[in-house]
Amino acid sequence: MNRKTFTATIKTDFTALEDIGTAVREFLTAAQVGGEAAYKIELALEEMVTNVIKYGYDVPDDANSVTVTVSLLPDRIVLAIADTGHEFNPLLAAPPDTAGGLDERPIGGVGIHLTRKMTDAMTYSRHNGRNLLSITVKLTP
Amino acid sequence: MEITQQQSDGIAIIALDGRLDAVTSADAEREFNSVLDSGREKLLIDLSHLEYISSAGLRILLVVAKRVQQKGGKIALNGLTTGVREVFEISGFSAIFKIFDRRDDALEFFKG
Repeated sequence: MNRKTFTATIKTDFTALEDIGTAVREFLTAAQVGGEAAYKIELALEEMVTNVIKYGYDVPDDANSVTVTVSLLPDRIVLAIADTGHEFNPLLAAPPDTAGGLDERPIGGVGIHLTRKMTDAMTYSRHNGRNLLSITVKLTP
Repeated sequence: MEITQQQSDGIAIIALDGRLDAVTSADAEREFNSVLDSGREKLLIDLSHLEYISSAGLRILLVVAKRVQQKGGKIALNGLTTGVREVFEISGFSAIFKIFDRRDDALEFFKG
């Protein structure tokens, strides 16, 4: 029997990100979700959790955490990311200029842009001191 | 992530196998820097076995490309897989890099 929901709360460091990335991949593989949809979820997870790790908290503390939930529905996957870090709405981030050549391109700044373009829907809310991000990737039959 | 290096007619060919992400990109950056530090100016990065790249991976490739350009060298990529290609297109990286399907075609580019 396939599990339909995966959830885990992790510390905000890159070792934890690696572990949860692997766990989510295994969950998707077990549910026979691969290819493009799996890539998009993995990317959204990495980009958004990386932002929380880098900018969410001023002081490293074992109490800092991110909760990740992946829900598998018949026609879509929903990735929910919740953290108690600084208020940050990625939907308000200015898109980078992706038209420049090598000289003009600054290093970095494309993670949110990639996530927004590669997924089908993204919603953000701030509730009780928590950032709640919900990202949808449609499953094509 | 596995990184394999070989030389062909003065071109350093670096093949990336696996995932280039926030976790593995530091290793890849060290490898690229050691190649550039050894005086190589022509770099072909073979991505035909790279199954995943994120913005952290793109960042490393951009840093390498800028270094190569400063040295007056040349850089090319080959063999982008489906997901990797989509990431390159959305980020505008398809326009920054010379990208070839096959390694042989990319090697020709360095001769020109």
